[in-house]
Amino acid sequence: MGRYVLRRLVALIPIWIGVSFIAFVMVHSIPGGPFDTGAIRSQQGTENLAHFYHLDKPLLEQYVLYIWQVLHGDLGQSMVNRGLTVNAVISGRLPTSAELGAAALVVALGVGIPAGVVASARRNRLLDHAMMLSATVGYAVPNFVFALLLILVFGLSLHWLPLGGWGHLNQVPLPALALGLPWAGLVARMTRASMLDVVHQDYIRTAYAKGAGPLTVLVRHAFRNALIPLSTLIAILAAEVITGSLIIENIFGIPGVGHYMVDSILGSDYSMTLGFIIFYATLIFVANFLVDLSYGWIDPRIRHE
Amino acid sequence: MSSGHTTVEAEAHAVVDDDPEGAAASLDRRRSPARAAWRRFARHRLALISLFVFVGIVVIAVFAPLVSGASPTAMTSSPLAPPSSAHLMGTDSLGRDLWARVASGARISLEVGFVSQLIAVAIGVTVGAFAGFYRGFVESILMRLTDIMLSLPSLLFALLLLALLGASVRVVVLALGLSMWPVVARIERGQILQVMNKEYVEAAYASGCSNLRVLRHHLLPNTLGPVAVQATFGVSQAIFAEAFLAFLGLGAQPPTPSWGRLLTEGYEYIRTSPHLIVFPGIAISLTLLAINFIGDGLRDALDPHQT
Amino acid sequence: MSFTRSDRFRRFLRSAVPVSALALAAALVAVSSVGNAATTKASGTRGAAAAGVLRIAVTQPPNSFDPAVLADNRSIELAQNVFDGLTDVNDQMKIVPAIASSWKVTGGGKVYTFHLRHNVRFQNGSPVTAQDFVYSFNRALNPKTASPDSFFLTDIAGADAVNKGKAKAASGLKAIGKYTLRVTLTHSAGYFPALVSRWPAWVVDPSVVAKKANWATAGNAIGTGAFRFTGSVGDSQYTFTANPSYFGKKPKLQKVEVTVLPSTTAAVARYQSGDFDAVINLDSPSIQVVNSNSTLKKEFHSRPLLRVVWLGMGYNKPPFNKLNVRLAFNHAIDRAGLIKVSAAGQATPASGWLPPGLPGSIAGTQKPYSYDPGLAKRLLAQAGYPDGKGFPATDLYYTLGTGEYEQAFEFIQNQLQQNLGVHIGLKQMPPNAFNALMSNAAKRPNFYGYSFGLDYPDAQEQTTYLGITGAGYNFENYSDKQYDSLVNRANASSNQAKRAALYAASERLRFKQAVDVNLYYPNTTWLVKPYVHGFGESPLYTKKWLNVSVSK
Repeated sequence: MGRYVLRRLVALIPIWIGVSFIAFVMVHSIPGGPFDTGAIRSQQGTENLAHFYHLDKPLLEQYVLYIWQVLHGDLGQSMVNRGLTVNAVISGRLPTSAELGAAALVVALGVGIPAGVVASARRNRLLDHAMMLSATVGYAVPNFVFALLLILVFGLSLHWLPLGGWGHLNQVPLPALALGLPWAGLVARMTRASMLDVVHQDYIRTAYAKGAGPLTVLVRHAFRNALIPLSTLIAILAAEVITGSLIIENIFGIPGVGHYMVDSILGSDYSMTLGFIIFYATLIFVANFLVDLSYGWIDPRIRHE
Repeated sequence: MSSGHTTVEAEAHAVVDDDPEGAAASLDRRRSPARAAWRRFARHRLALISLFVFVGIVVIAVFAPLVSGASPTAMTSSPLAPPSSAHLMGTDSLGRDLWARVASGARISLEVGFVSQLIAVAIGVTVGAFAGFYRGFVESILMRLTDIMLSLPSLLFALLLLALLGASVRVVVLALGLSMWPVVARIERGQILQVMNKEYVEAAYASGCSNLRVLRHHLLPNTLGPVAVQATFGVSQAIFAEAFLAFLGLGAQPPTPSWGRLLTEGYEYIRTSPHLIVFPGIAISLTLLAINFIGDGLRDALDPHQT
Repeated sequence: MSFTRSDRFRRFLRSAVPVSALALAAALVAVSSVGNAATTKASGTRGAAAAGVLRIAVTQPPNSFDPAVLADNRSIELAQNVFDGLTDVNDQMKIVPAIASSWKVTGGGKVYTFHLRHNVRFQNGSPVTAQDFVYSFNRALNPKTASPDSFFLTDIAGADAVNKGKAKAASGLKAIGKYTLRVTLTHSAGYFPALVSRWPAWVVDPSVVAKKANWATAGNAIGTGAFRFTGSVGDSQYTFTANPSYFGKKPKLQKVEVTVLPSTTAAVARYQSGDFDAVINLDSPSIQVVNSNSTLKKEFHSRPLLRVVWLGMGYNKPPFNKLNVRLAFNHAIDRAGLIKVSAAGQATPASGWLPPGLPGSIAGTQKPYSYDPGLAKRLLAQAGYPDGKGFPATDLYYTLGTGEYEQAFEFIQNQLQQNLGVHIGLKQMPPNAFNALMSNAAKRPNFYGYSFGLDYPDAQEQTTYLGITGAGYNFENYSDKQYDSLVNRANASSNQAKRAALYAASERLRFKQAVDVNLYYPNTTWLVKPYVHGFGESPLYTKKWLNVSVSK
C-alpha cells in the first residue's frame, strides 16, 4: 500500500509542474499587463513597477522564482492591489465559497439520494419516470437560469427571501438551491443506476432468501454498496463548486473566491490569477489523489497493476 | 453502472425481465445493428419528442430572420416594452425585438455547441486511439498530456484563452473544444482497450491487415458509440459554457445576440422587465433539455443494458 | 458467491470508506463554518442604523492605504480621510491650505515656500515637521517604492534622478527649520499647488513606515487625518474611527463602515432594508429601480463629474483626416437619445473636451453639435463618401471603464449605420488589453471610445497628457501648433485667470476642428438616507467624511 501511495504521488508531480508552467506562460501572455490601467503614468513609473514585480526578468527565471516562492507557501502578492496577498484573499473568501458549496452539497445529496433510491425501488413506474424527468430537467437547465428564476419568484414576487449577501441564515436557501438542485439531478440519476446495478447482485437475492424484509435489504445491503460510485461523484462535485459558484456568487453578491478570480484575469493581475489557478489545481490533485488512494485500498487489483 | 455486460447477457436479461419487445429487438440486432439501435432509441418517447423539438430549434436557427420577421439589431423607439402583438417577446433596453434576438441566438448557440464538439472529438479520438492502440511510451506520454489538461480547471483555461485571444464566438468555440477533448480521449482509449481483444480484430490481423487499417476499419467504428454519447452531452455543456462565459462578459460581442448575452443584458433589468430573461431562459433550457434527453436515448440505444 | 468472513469485511470497508470520508468532510466544513461564523456574520448584514455611525456600500475594494502606492478612485476616496497633504481641494474645486497654512511663489514661478501649521500631529501623537514631507516625497519617488503616480512630483528639481534610482533625495526639496518647506521646480508651474494636494504628496510617519514593508494595514496605517483606519475583514469590509486630535474641525461621526459589494443592485436592495446608510455610483439598472420607487427617488442624488466620454478619431490618417468626415460623425449622433437609453439620463451632452466646472472649459457656453442627420449625410457626401459608399472598413474599439455604458456603443453603431450608411464593427475589450493596444503606436486603432476623469481640478492634466503634440496619451495623434502654444502658455503662467482664458481659447480651436466626437459628461450618483447630513459627491470623488453627521 505504501509503495502504491508513493507511486501515485510521484506520477502526480510532473503533471503539477506541467499545469503550473502552462498556466504561468498563458497568464503572462495575456495582452495588457497588470499596469495597463489607462491611468496616466510616466515611463519611469512603469519601469519601476515592472522591476518591483520581477517582470523585467526573462520568463523562465520568473517561473523558477515563482515556483520557489509557492513551495514556501507564498502564493504571491497582487499586482493591482499592492499589499493584498493571494493567501489573504483565499483565506478571507474561501470559507464563504466553501460554505456555499457545502450548503449546495447538502441540497444535492439530501434531495438527490432519496429521489434516486425511491426511483430505483419503483422502477419504470410513474414515480420513477417523474423523478428521472425532473432530475434531467434539473441537470440540463443552467444553474444561473435557475438562480434568476428563484430570484424572480422568491425574491421579487413573493418577497420571502433576500436577494443577496451572506452571513444570515435566510441568505443561504436561494443560492444553495440554485447551485445544488442541478447537482441533485445528477446525484439522483447516479444513485438510481447504481442501486439498480446492485439490486441484481447475488448477495441481494441471498439476503431475500435468508428472510430479510425489503427495507432491510434496501438500506443495509443495497444502499451501502451503491454509495461507491457516489463517492467519486462527490469528489467531482467538490471541484465543481469552484466553477459553479462563480456566477452564483456574482448574481447573489456573495463575497467568495469565484468573483475575485474573474476580475483578476480580466485585470491581468498575473500573480492573483496564477495563485488561484495553482490553488485550484492543487485542490483537484489532492481530491483525485485521495480518490485514487481509496480505490487502491478497496480494490487490491488496482494496487498491483 | 453495468457497462461491462456482454451482448449475450443483455439478451438473456431482456428475456428474463419480461421484456418481449426487447428480446425480439435483440434477435433483430443480428441482422441490422443500426436499425436495432434506432428502434431502441425510438422506444424512449422522451428522446423521440426531444429529437423533434431539437429539429424545430435547428430550423428556427437556420431560418432565423425569416421566422422572426424583424431584425435583431434594429432599434425601435419603444424600449423595454413587455410582450405584445407587435413584439411577441417584447423589446430590450435599446428597443430591439426580443423574439428576433432569441431566434438569432439559437444559431450562435448551436454553432458553438456543434463546432466545439467537432474539435473535441477530432482531437480526443485521435489522441485516445493512438494511446490505446500503440500503448507503451506513446500511451504514457499522451495520457500524461491528457491528465495535465484535465487538471487545469477547464473554466479557468477557457477564461485564459479568451483573455489571450480576445473574446469572440470563435475563440469560445476553440476554448471549449480544447478543454473538452481530454474527456473524449479517455473514453476512446478505454474503448480501444476493450475492443482490442475481440475475435474479429484477431481475424483482421490474421487476414493480413496492417496496423493502420485495423485501427481505421475495425477498431474506430466500434468504439465511437460512447464517444457519440459524450459528444451529445458535450453539445449541451458547450452551449451552457458559452452562456456562462457571456454572463461574465466574455462570450459573443455586441451586438451579437447569443443567448448568454441576452441573459446578461436581461439580468440588469430583472426588477423592472423580467421578460428579458424569461424568454432567453426558456429557450436555452428547452434546448439543453432536448439535447440531454436525446443523449440519454442515444446512450441506451448504443449500449444496451437495463435502465 | 459465498459469504466468507473476508467478503463481509471487505464489503463493510467498501461502504465504510466513502461514508466516513463524507462524515469527515462534513465535520471539517462544520468546524470551519463555526470558526468563521463570527467573521461571516460580520461580513453579512450590519447592525441597524446608529447615531454617529455611517455605513456605506461601494463596488470595489481599495487597492492600498499607502499614499505612495494608491492607484484608483476607491482607494483615494477612503484614504483621503486618513491622510493629508500640504494643500487640499475643496468641494468647489479650489485649492485650499491643509497642513500648509500658506505658501509663497517666487523665483519666476519656480520656487514654492510652504509654511506648515505648528499643531499637526500624526494619529500616533508624533508631531509633523517639514522633514517628514521631505521624507514622504522622496519615498514616493524612490523606485523601490514603485509608486504608479510618482510623476506628480517629477516637476521638482532632482526628482527625476531619484525616480531613476540615481539619487537618494531630490535636490529641490529643503526643510528649513521645523515648519518651513522650500520646493524648487525645474520650470515655472502654476499647477503645482494642485499637484501637492494629491496622494503621492501626503505625509507619512517615517518611523511607522520604516518598521515593515506592508505597513498600511488596519490599525497600523498612520496618517494625520480625521479618521483612523482601524479594521478590515479580507477585502470586503473596512472600518474607520474618528480621530479626536485632528488638527482641523473635529469630526462629527464616531465610526464609518465601508462594505464592498460588486453589484449596486444588491446594494440598493440592502439599502432599502436598512443595512446601509448610503450607496454610491449606481449603475443603470439600479437607477431604473430608483426611478420606479418614490422613496428611493427622493433619496437619490446626482451631479456631473470632472469626466468626459468621447469617440477618438485618428486625426492624421484617412478617413478621419478630413474635417467634413469628423463633422458628419458629430452631427450624426443623437447625444440626448444616447444618454436616455444607456445612462438612464444621468449624463449631460458634451460640447467641449474639457468637462464643465474646470477653469478653461467651454462646456457651459458652447452648445454641442446639433443632431442633424440630413446635414451629416451632406457633409459625408462632400467628403467623398456619399451614403457611406467607399468608406473604409472601420471598427470601434472600446472598453467599459468609468462612465462608459455598454449600450451606448451599440446605439452609436446603429446611428452611424442608419444616418450615414456607414457600417462600424464593435470591438469591446477587457480594460488592460484595451489600454495596452492604445499605448502601442503601431497597432493603435483609428476609431475608439475613451473616457478621462481628472485627478486634480486643473486643465493642465488633460491638455498636457492627452492633448498636445506628442503627448503620451494623445491617441488621436492630433497636432496643431496654435493649440500647443496656447496650452504651454497656460501651463507656465501663475495668473489663474489668464490660464483659464488661454485654456478656453485652446478649447474653442479644438471644437472648431471637431477633433473628437465628444459624447457626454457622466454624472456620479448616490443614494443617502434622510437622517444623514453632509454626505455627497464632489466632481472628483466622494466628499470627505469630516462634515458628515448621522442623527437617529
